[in-house]
Amino acid sequence: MVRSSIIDKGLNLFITKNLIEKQYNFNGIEYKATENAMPFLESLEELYSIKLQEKANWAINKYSKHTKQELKNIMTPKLSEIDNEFNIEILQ
Amino acid sequence: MKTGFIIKELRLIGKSVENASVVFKRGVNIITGPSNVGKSYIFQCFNYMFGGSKPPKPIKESRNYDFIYLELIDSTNTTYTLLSDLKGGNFKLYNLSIDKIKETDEFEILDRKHSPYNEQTVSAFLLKLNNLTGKKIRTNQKGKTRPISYRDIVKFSMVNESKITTEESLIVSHYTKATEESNVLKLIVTGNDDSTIIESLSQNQIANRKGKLEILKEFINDNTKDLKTFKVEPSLMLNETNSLIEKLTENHSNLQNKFNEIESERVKTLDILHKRQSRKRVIEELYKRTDLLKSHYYSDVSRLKSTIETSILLNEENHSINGNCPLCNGEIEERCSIADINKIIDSCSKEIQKIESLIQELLESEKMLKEEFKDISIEVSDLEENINKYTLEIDKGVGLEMGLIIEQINQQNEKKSIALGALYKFEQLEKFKAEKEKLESSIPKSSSKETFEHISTRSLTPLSKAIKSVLKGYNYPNLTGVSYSEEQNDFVISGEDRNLSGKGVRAIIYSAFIVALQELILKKEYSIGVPIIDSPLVSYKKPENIGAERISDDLAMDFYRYICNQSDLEQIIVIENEVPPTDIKENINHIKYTRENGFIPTK
Repeated sequence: MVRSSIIDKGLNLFITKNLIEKQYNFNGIEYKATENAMPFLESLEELYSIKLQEKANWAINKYSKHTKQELKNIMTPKLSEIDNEFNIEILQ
Repeated sequence: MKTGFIIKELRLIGKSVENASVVFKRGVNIITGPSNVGKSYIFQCFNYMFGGSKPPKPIKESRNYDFIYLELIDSTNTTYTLLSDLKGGNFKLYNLSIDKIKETDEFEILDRKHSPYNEQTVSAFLLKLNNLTGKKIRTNQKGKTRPISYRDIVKFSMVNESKITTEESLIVSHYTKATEESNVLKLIVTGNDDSTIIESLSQNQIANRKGKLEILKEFINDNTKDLKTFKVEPSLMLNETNSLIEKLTENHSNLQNKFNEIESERVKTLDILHKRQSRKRVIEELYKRTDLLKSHYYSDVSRLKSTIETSILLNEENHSINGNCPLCNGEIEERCSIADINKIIDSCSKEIQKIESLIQELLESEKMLKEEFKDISIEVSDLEENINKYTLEIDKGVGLEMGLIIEQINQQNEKKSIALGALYKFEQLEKFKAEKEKLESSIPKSSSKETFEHISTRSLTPLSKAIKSVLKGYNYPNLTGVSYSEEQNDFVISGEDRNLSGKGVRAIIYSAFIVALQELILKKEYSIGVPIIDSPLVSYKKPENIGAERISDDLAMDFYRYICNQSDLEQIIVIENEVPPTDIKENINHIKYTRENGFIPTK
């Protein structure tokens, strides 16, 4: 919820820059890359950006076929793992 | 008078009859009178009152009498009165004179019959007065003994008119009683009773003791053999081991102290080690975390860089401004201006700088941790080394020494217990030896009869001498010597056996025997009662006694004179037919009976 306005703002920015477009259909509201998006992404050279794209591709490949409930089932146990990594009890 | 008693009065009491009484005095008492005036009756009364079982013969004058009193005074001047019926019943004992007795007075009951285990008998009472309580006499050859009775004694202080002329032994009344009667005389003459004699053992007992002795001997042999292996006296050995054990124990406690010191050092070091190890683990963990943090920082930086790039690109690209709403085609207000994007770029750059300084710091602290880790690792290994050293010292150094000492102590303790055992055996051995000696001495050497103290010519010499002295006092004619014949159990006067003498002489010798016995024990710690002699001069002036049987007038009178003037007896009672000479009448208590005026008053 905290981040929703930022995401909203970002989406809007990309819409104004003509990099994505908003579509309303029977799935709800969907955002879709424009033809400008590809050259834009390709022009990014920072390693982080490249890795981000790789990760996005990986995520799409891996999880796009799953339903929301399936995703939840996959994610919930992993969340606690992530949580554990930040538990620095031993340092206290 | 050290012991004994004197007779004060004899009295008969009956209903509706006058009392019959005879009063005696200290010294010589002579009762004279013709026959049938109650003289022998008096004698029988005495015998009866001294525990005789037979009551006096019930002569017709006595039939109305019911009770008989005998008043005695002992050596401490205490008066006693014995009271009995005339039918052989028991006694009443009063601590009063006859005249003072009232019906309400307290008395003791004394049995007439003697029993060694009963103190309430007339025998026990009279033995006590004569200080003869608890004396024992031997009764057979094997050494069997029994406590004496006053009846044993009275035979040697009283003699009646028929016995005084006896041809039998003065001492032994019957051969079956020879042992005990001669031992009574031995007791009277020497004062030694037979209470120390232990009855000789039966064959069974001897065999039993011999068996015991065999076992003891075996024990002693075995023990002696065992103890031969001891070169050192066990008590010395014991002392040595004890001092060694003490020394070892001291050493042990010293080592124990050392051990405790090292152990406490070790524990202290171990504590420090544990603390360091824990710190080391913390550092290791921290190290891991810094890695994680570092990668976060790097990822942040690259993300920020990517943001900057993206932002620059967004600003540079001439994307269509008419980003209209695809639905309503209305213009979307561009809320994110170029200036805003530039701001983002700036702030991201700043952020990168900040993160980079953080990374610097992180690297530095990482370095510090690394150093600390190194130091702690060294410290830990040092501590571990120390602990190993302590452990080694405890196990191999002090510990080993302590183990050795404990082993030595155990060895010494073992030695000690051996020494104690040997000491005990030595003690046992001594005990066994003593027991053996006792047993050996208790077993008779041969089957021969034991020799007991016995009367003999030699042992009766004092009595023989005393009789001689009395007879000399009587002016006994042709007196050369008096001795005791073991064969006859009797005395030999001037070389002639007493039983071969005439009746009159036998009687006078008997009286001398009684008087001599009394004189012999005068100074001793015991006595045997008042001498009472019935008819010592039996043949005196009797016309029917003629020739050799008759004793001279002089001898008879000199008998009286002797007991009156030369003898120191506390009291003597003589019962005779004829009166004593007038020259002694001042010194005697003469009780004179006549036919009209006898012992028992006639109405």
